[in-house]
Amino acid sequence: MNLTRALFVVLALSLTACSVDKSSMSIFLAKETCSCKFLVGRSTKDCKKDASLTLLFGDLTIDEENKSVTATAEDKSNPATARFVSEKFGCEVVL
Amino acid sequence: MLKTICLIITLVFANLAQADWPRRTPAQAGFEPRTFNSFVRKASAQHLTFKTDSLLVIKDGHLVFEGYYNNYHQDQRHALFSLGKTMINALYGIMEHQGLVHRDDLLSQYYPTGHSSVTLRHLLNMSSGIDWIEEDSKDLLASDPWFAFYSRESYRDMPAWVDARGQAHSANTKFNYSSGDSGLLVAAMRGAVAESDYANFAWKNLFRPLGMNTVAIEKDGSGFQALHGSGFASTRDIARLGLLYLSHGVVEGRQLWPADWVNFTATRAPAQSTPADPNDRNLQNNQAYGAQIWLNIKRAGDKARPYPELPSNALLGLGSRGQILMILPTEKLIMVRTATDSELSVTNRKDYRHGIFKALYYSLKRGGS
Repeated sequence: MNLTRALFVVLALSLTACSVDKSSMSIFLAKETCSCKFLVGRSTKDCKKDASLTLLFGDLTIDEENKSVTATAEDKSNPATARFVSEKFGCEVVL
Repeated sequence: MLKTICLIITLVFANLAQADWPRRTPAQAGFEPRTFNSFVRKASAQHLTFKTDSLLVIKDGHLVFEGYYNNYHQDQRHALFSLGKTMINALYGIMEHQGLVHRDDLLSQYYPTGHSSVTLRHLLNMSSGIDWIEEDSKDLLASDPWFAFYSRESYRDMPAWVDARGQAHSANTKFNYSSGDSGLLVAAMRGAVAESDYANFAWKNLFRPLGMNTVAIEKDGSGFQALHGSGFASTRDIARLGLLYLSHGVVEGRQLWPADWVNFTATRAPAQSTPADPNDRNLQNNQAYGAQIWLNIKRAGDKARPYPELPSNALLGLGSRGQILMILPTEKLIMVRTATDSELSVTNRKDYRHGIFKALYYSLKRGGS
């Protein structure tokens, strides 16, 4: 497990190093956590657990009042924010 | 007074929407109970990289098993990922039946594409030839869907980001499983329906008639409904979609699809008439595929079907992290599994699916069906 995780993080870091967009990991964490929390309706604890299952990690700030999530991935990529739009259209990434 | 009437109407509709399926025990439904329990244990077990969130079995229109795990519950949606592509198939059947598109139309009739020879059929069959690697054997995280859904550049306009790619192959000559192809189907759908109808089209024509009241679709920065990767639905609603394939598109006596739509859906992509390339960089390219759904038949050159014990007319909707909609038309059997898997190995993921399919089908055979 630790080996898998380590491998994955190395892959992830090499990915962001090569990619044009330096914030994919943060966008991923922000969007997935926003959908988990505000569209699917899971607890913050479960959403953080789900996010950790993807083996990508970072700081997550969940704004319950404005239904938005800001994430800064552990590769120190640019932070990204996703916000809940509606029950029908879920969350969107703030561009 | 008005409030009371509204409340009553709401309650009546809520009841209709949640109308329970008639139930049968595994034995009544034709399964051998002991082996059915083994299937349930196998499919609901929580492993390190396989985490089942829900499991549901419907046989002959009766609910036989329904279970929720990891704090999920019945009315809750789950992320569908590529399982949403099956909904794209359903919507194209509906659009063709309504005369809005035909499968042999050019993509360019509905979307200002740079790929002038690509038809809707090519896209439905994942054979557009547009450059794309869904799951890269060389670098898993450099795979295209990662950028397609999680980079700002593509998020601004997902179909435009795909369309800017070159043709790696001539259209219809190479099967290449691609969320990019499905993304262009999403784009063409918007072009085929009136802009004023687009926001509600899928709900009005597919989800509501089927009683699928939990479906949500997230949009990209240009308002395209990204059903190719960003759809959500409850486990029961996923099953409702499956039932549409058993009824050949008939809902309450009304035909939603052309008569041959299921047959077309279950027909192997013509570009798969040549054997799979063992050195293909796209790890998703080696199994039989129909129109936005996986099949259980041989590709040219295959020794066996992907799931040899299962019937050859099985339809399989699959999504990232372990989402499964299994449809067995002859047996009238539907199995849905939602999950938060983190297994990286394509082989292990297939073996896991194979294991639970086999266990369920074995129980049915043991039950004498």
